[in-house]
Amino acid sequence: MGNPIFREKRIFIYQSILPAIFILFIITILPFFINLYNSLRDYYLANPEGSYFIGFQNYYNIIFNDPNFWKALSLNLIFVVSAVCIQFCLGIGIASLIHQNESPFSRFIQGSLMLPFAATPIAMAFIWRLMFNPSLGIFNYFFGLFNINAVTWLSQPKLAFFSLILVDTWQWTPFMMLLLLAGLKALPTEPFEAASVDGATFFQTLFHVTLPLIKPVSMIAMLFRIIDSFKTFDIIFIITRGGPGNSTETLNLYTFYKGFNHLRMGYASALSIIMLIIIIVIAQKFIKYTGINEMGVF
Amino acid sequence: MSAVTRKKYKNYLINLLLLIVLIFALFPIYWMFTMSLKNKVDSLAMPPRWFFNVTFDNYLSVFSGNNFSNYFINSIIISLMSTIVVLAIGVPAAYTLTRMKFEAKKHISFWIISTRMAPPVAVLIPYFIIFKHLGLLDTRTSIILMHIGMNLPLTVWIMQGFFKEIPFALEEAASIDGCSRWKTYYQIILPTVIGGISAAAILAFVFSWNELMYTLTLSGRSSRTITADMYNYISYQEINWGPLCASGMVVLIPIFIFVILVQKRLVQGLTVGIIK
Repeated sequence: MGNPIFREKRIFIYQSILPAIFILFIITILPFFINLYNSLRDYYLANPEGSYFIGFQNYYNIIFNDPNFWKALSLNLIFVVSAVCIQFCLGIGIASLIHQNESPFSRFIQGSLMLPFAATPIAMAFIWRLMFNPSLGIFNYFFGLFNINAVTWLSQPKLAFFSLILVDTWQWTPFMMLLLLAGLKALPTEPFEAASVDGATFFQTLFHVTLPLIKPVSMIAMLFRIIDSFKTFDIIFIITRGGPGNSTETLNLYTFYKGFNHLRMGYASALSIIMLIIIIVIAQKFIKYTGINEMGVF
Repeated sequence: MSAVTRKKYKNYLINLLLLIVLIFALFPIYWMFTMSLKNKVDSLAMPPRWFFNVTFDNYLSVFSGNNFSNYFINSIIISLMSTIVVLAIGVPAAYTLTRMKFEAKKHISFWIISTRMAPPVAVLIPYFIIFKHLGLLDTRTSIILMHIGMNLPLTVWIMQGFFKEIPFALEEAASIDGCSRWKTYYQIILPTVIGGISAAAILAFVFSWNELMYTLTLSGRSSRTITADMYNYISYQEINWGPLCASGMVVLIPIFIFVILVQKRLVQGLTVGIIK
């Protein structure tokens, strides 16, 4: 072992990692600083004179003068919490069912459940929009069969929000289910055998044996979903465009509209920075609260 | 009731529940498929017509629409190029992050994963301005670049999971035989993780194909993809459901082919990083 080997190793490290670092730099650090710069200016795209410096005015306006911001933020939070909780419960339920029953049928199900996850959101969103249609949609047709009144899914604020959560659940539960199923498969069988010897019912086993054992996997899966569902854009944009009025306009959409509809780039940049901070804080809190760091994942 | 029959009933119940889940999961796709084959009257008929005359008119109108083949080629080029570049950059980086010991390793690893936290809008706004000034707004290059940035963290993360599984013995044997690092990498390590690479490639392709925000905002008439082109069928007066569903099916078909062929790999790719 001498110098040439160390040198070769170092060259290899640089050559293999630098392209990635470069790309990451221009995708994360560079936009961050540009956003920071723009957020301190009044940057109206339609203004021929360009932008001018206004200090923290944008931030001040967002936090103190903008009820739409707070509404968008609260919508985002409600969306994330509800969607992730529902997807987790359904995911663990379906995963347990599949796990209990190893057969060609359940393997077929596993494969087919990939389709909602892989299907292009914009295509599916259009179909969901049609299915929610009050007169032409399939849901109201089924309701009619049971003599329930037709529902205007997308025209009422709360219902529109619920419909979006429904579509998001349809799309992402398979992902949760997949991760949780892999986690279930990796578990040792002794605790389960002990539980069934002791005469535990399905639900008792679920709550006292399964859930504690897959806590690491569940927490990571939930972290992923939380971070990703903050960024949900496609389905909201296509199905409700922000909802009747702005009742489904999450922070993501609000920033997008401010930048590309109202052309207020400075304001939108400030919103992006605030949104980034919020996501980072929530992710950090979640990691700390669930102790993911100690599980040695990162 | 004996234990055996009880188990059989339990299995029936589980299969029934799973069937309900399956129906719910596949129904929208089935609905889009049938709508794409219905003519105008049948497609919006209420109560819905479960049996109908199959017509291929919708597909004909999609394929003969203006520039459809251009848009299709755009979609393929964008997804293919971004996948290739992401693999070329991400796989070596993942290998180095898993195997080599150096100071900044943990920090870089964490940085890569935490870039997922950035909302796409936060990246889109500065880049829209940059591309506008560089004159790159209606090009495929800008979208490819965005997709590379979008898929790189995930690819690195997935490949790290696969690289962790390789025994050290492989590299030790190679270095005893006098292989340089890069030679070891190309001839010994890569063939071992070819499964992981295909999983990462599929995911990168699918996410790039399905992506909407960047594609919609950064594309124009010449760089539009077939996903963004679905808007074509929504005009001021009506939504042309037949051709819309047909173009939706065309958008979905490559994905479905991929998924059906390689679903085991897909599952592997998604779960390997999490399950140790």
